[in-house]
Amino acid sequence: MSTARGGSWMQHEGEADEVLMVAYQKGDVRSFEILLTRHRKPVFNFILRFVGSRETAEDLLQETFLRVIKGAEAYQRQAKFTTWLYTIARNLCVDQSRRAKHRKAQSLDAPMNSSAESGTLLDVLPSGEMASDRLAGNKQLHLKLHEALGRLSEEQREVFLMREFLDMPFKDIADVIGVPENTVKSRMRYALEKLRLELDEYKDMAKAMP
Amino acid sequence: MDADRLMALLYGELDAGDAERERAAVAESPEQAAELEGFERVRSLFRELPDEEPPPRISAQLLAEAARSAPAPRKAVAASREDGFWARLVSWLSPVQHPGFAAAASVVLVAGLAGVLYLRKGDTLQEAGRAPEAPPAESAAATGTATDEAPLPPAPAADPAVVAGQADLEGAAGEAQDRSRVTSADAKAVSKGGKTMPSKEKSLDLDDDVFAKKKREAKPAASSKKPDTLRGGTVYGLSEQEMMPGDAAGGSGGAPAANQAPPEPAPAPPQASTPTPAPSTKPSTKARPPTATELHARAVDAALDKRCSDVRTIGAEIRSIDPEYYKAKFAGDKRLKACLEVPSQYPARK
Repeated sequence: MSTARGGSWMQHEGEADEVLMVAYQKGDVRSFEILLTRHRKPVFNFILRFVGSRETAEDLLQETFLRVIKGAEAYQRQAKFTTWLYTIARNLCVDQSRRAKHRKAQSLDAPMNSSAESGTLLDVLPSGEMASDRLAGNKQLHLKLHEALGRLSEEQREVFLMREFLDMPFKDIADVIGVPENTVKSRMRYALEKLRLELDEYKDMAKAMP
Repeated sequence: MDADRLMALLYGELDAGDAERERAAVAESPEQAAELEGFERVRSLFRELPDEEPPPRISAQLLAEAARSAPAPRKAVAASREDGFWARLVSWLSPVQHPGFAAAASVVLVAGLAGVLYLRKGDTLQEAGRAPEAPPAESAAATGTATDEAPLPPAPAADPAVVAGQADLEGAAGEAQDRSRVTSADAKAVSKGGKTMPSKEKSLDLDDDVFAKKKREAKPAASSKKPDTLRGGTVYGLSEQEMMPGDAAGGSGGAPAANQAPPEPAPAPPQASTPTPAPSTKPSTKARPPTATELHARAVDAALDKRCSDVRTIGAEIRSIDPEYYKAKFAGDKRLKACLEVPSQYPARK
């Protein structure tokens, strides 16, 4: 990494999303690259956990950032970038769900896509270096968590995903979804109650966790 | 405890004082304490859920599109098109604001006006002793000669309006106004049989040529920039099919993917949806798209000015129009190496 290139990267790396977006408005593609690097993974996981299909999540991820590119000229610095970004992503997810009428979690045996070579949800889940029994247990837990998420209503699921995985304040979630803040908190409470019942069998495991 | 307070407490959105009070209230209620504990367990379970990594090809495609659609170069063109006549005129004349252009234009203008004055003085002297002649412009037009080559038309002798017009011209202020005065003065001469318009048109043509030249000089700066995808037939200047992820790009992963082999979702169509490559319409007023060699030269200039973002943008453009040139010459140019080198992409982030 050359000094000039690295210096430019380091200079932008710590800048706020809004500053980077304004820089991209002026033609600095490097700023957009930093934004993409910073947000592509959390956006992808939000979409994936919302729609429940990796192939669909990849398409929607690309669509989300393409809309960011298209809307760059109209972006105003006063607007919070993440609020705008996740509004786009969330709306795409809602539209996709309405098209697919997908409201349940996928079956363990159901293939992820139509390709015969594709694996099931079990194969998609990442695995680290650990003992096989623990690995199987973790995979089982992860599947259970995905299932439980899938059983939430879309309204509850999106609130839960934004708060729990994106650490987005309730006020920002309300801006993204377009409902009052107390409605967001109410949906969150219902989501947590439902998940608590779904995952009651894992409560002992949860107690051992930090 | 209502959902509002409970969720705010659970996720730390209460200030210190309120949080302390709410915890005390929960501690006094076994039901609320159990509920809160249950919610905490759920959260701890979901913290174990690992994040998944999106495929690198998506990032490569997005970066290519971002480079192609960078908003700033189109903004000036779009603004000039969307604004009114004066805004467009200002944008055309913007190069004239340079002192050099302004000086050159002034010299040409003064020379043209001086020429008109000189010629009309001579006509005035000649007119005193002979009858008006047939309109030379008509004969010139009949024979197909250019207006510039038409002989000077007669002008009335000692016409006060003409004299006043000449005085105004010598002042060289408000050329359009002067033009109108001269024209109106000459209209009186026309009534005597002469046709003076050609000479005035000659001076007008001279001025128009100056502006036309400036317009042509200004045009390449706008037209050579990235196409205005907003004006294309599709939202992104590309069909949505072209921008959707495909397998043609290959699964090259890792850091070099974005710069080495960004899959171009639309190798040919972008030009079809943009106004820039239109040689068949107005070749005299629109510049051809820059070649890879020209872009390479610009990139070298940018690298010397340490404008690495411009270097990379130009590189993406070269790669889209001539991938072979990019591989053979651009990517290996030592002068651009500092700007083109890519750090390990996708640093580990949470």
